Amino acid sequence: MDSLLIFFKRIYVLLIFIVLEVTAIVFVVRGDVQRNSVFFTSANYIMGKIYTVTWHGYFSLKDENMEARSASGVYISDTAKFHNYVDTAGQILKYRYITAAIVKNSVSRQNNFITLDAGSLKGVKEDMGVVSPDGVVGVVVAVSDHFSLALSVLNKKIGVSAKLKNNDFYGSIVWTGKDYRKAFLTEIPNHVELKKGDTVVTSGYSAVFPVGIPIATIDAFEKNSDDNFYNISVTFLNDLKSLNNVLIIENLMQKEQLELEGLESKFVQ
Amino acid sequence: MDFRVYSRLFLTYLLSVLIQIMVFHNINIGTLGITPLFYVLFILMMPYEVPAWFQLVLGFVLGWTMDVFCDTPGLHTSATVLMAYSRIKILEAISPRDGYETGMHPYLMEMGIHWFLKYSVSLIFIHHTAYFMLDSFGFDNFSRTLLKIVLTGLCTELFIIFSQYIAYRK
Repeated sequence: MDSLLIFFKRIYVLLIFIVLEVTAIVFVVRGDVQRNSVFFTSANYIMGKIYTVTWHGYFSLKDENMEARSASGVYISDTAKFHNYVDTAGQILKYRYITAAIVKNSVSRQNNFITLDAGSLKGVKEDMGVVSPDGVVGVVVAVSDHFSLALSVLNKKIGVSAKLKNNDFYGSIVWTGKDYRKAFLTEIPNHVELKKGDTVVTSGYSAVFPVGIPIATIDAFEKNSDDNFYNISVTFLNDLKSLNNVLIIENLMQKEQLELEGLESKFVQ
Repeated sequence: MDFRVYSRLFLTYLLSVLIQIMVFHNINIGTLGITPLFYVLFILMMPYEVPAWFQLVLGFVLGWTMDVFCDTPGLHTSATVLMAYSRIKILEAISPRDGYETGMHPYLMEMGIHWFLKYSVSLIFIHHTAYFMLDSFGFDNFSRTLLKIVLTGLCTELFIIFSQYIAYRK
């Protein structure tokens, strides 16, 4: 018994180490994918406040902030770019826009997130798209009262449904995980004619983004003989490292569309 | 269990985390996106008299704090716990001839540059390796991860040495 106690005394530090390390690694392994609890992320109120102070107080231009926001919550300073999506009176409104500022951003990890300063009190919900005037930024995955957390397009867990602007062939944009300016466009078949500099836009199939929001331009492509799809490398139009203001897009018909699409399984035997 | 030691420990913890979030999180060098992980200062500066099990717990707390700020469940924690455990082993391995006396600190000015470099470089390397390996999850683009470990490690080391001349003078 004594020798057991002595043995235990000798290795208890190692045991504590193993317990703590395993706990941490379990969180890494099952972490990222589902984030139901906002409390343990930077979108929670206190963390959000601290980030608002540091990120915006010292490191960005406040004036620019104010200019881009309007009282009505609709983006007005750059309407030209969003012209197609802002419905005028008399039409059925499909998309609504909520302005927000980025409180925290990262580009250096494999799975990057963005914290925004608009939360459920401003009407932000999960699965809303986030865009800037230059293009797609991410998708909201968790919301607190005053803040929301979005998956950045620089996240390997997200693939944005995209298509070529000039011929409508669709695929999906997946980040390389290497350079914050570069991504891959997958699933474009070999027979399509491509040019360097072609624009890639959102396909509108996903019920998150409206159709035609710019994402990236093609900078290199090669035919892949293994499967009949291209390897395409694209450059983001957004500089994701220097973003300040964004629009959160609410698709008012998202629920209706997804419910209807849910019926698909009924007709597949 | 000296009150002064522990209040100082708490202050170091607060400052390391705040400086990391307010200053170093805004640094992002080059296309690799190098952000120095300065907060490991807290583990490096832990006094010798803190019991080993508590060093591990403190490592866990520090990592967890960073994870909450960075939305990276477990990532920083795995690295800091490993670092805290390695610290115990490394302190044994590089202990001075007469061992560590009470009242001594692992500061550059007290232990000398030679000892401090061995100590900090090895621990920062262990921490950064764990952090970036887990971040890229395996050996997917290994050379890039390696480059990131080395460059970020150099940046961190540089700032840690600066901190010694600024805040840990005799």
